[in-house]
Amino acid sequence: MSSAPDSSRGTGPETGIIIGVGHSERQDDGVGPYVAQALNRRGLPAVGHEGDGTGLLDLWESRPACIVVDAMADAAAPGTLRVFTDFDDPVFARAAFVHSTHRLGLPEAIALGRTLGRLPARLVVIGVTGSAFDFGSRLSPPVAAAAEQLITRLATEDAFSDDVLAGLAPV
Amino acid sequence: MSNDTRVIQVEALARVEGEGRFKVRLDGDKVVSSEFSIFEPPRYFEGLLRGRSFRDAPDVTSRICGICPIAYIMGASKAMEDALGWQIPQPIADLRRLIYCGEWIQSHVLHTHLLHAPDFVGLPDSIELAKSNRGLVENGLAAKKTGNRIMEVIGGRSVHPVNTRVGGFYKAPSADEVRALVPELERGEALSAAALDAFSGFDFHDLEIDYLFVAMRHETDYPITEGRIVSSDGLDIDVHAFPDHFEERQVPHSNALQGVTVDGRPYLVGPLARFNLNADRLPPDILALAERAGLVPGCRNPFKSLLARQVEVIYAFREAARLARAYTPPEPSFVDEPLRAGTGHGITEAPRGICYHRYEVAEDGAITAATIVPPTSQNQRQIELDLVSTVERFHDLDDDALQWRCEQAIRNYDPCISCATHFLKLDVERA
Repeated sequence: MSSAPDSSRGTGPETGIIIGVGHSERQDDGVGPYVAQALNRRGLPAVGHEGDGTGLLDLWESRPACIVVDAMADAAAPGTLRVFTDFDDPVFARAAFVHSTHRLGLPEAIALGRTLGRLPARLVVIGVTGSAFDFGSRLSPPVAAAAEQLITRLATEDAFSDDVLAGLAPV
Repeated sequence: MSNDTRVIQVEALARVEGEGRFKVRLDGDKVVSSEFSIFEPPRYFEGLLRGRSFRDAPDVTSRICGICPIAYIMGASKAMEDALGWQIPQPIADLRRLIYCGEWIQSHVLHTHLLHAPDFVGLPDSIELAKSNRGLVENGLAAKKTGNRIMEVIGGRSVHPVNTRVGGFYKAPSADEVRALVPELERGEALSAAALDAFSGFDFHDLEIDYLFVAMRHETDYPITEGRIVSSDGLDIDVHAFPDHFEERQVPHSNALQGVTVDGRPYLVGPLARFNLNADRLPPDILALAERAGLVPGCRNPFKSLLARQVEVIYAFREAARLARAYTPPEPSFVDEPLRAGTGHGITEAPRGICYHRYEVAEDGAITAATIVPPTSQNQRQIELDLVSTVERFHDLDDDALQWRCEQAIRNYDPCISCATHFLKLDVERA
């Protein structure tokens, strides 16, 4: 196991943070909080978040690095993982991280954060394609499998490293 | 459809809470029809409460809305306490008012700065606004963060707080935690006054509408959690008489019931109604700030609801700081007395206007009937009439500009469609 970079451990503002965005009672939308909870149990600086963009800005702005895990409602096969670091990439725009017609969601928070200079130096979004977004706390089987893969991969001491992220899925 | 017919419509309104559409048919300069439709599915909260314990009502109904959960928690709690005959000591009532200030701040600021302000400067959203007026957006984010902080300290978290219950709070926050908020609240008031000054320079389109305003009114305070129900035509009633004066009606084009007076008149609730019916309850210096910004009591320009909302943000910061300075933890932190069968009514001023709850409770505390009348349901018919006024007043605009003006008119209400279905899409049709 490689040594941990300073940005991946601890809970203070000097460390990186993993944010699992979603609603735990809406099936696959809960994959983000599910992953965050599992990583938190393993001692990583991970939190679940319901996805209000202004709250995301507050959570990540003082951090050197941030990984956001969020469900996607795109056309890919359920359980598909995508890693985004280029937020101008049209694939990101099409990934359907839809949050609300009212509150700011993840894409809006990133755009606002870029304009205001309130993004972490390193921001990675990991999208998980979902298939079921009805009431309920269970993840669909393909999304549950993807979540376990993600947890295993990120539950290393260098969760924020390029190697770990590159092993997940193509950008 | 004649050659003079125009249809202005939006299928899915943006920068509002929930899913709705709007369609106006216009023949020359006259509106033929106006429909504000809420197509978000009905959510049946009143039905699913039946048979559950009275203790569940605040937490279940808070799930009606992620923006204004406190309004539901407090309305449900007050109605249950009314049914059970529980008296709430002033220190608990004060702590409720403090957390409610947090909700007013975070809800109002999200709307004024990030959702409604872009309309007044011709920009599509807050991201473009941040490019041209970074300071205003930073101002709003800072104020919202403080509103959230109040809710976290008292409610345990900023969305769907978990520390509230019928009778009070599971655990009172410490005096140190609450008093530590004061410097941030004082900064928030100063920031919000600066934002009001910035908003005062906006172009508030020239439109006056003859509203029936309805709001709560308290003997001494600007109304949030306590007071009677008053209107601009002289109504002055206790909450128990709400069903005798107001009712909800079903319309074919909407999944949300429309609130009207029992004699069928539409009415307006929310910041403009509260301000007009309670301006004398604001501290004189805050009223002076409002008047300097162009908001004077009796205002009937719906676009100036932005100013009313921001004035209330200033007031909420002032009031929160006052309550935080005076805070000592209530002991005990909740009332829990014997049960009895009964019927209870509760009303509070949610950010978007009065929110009414009525429950019937059996001897064992089980809920046997529930009625919830949220502010957007009450405003829904008036929103349709505002669209008529807006289209007739500004019919010379081209279709795109008129559509935007209509969307802005709807956003005057900061409508919460999710609440109304416990309800947006815009169509303008020109004949």
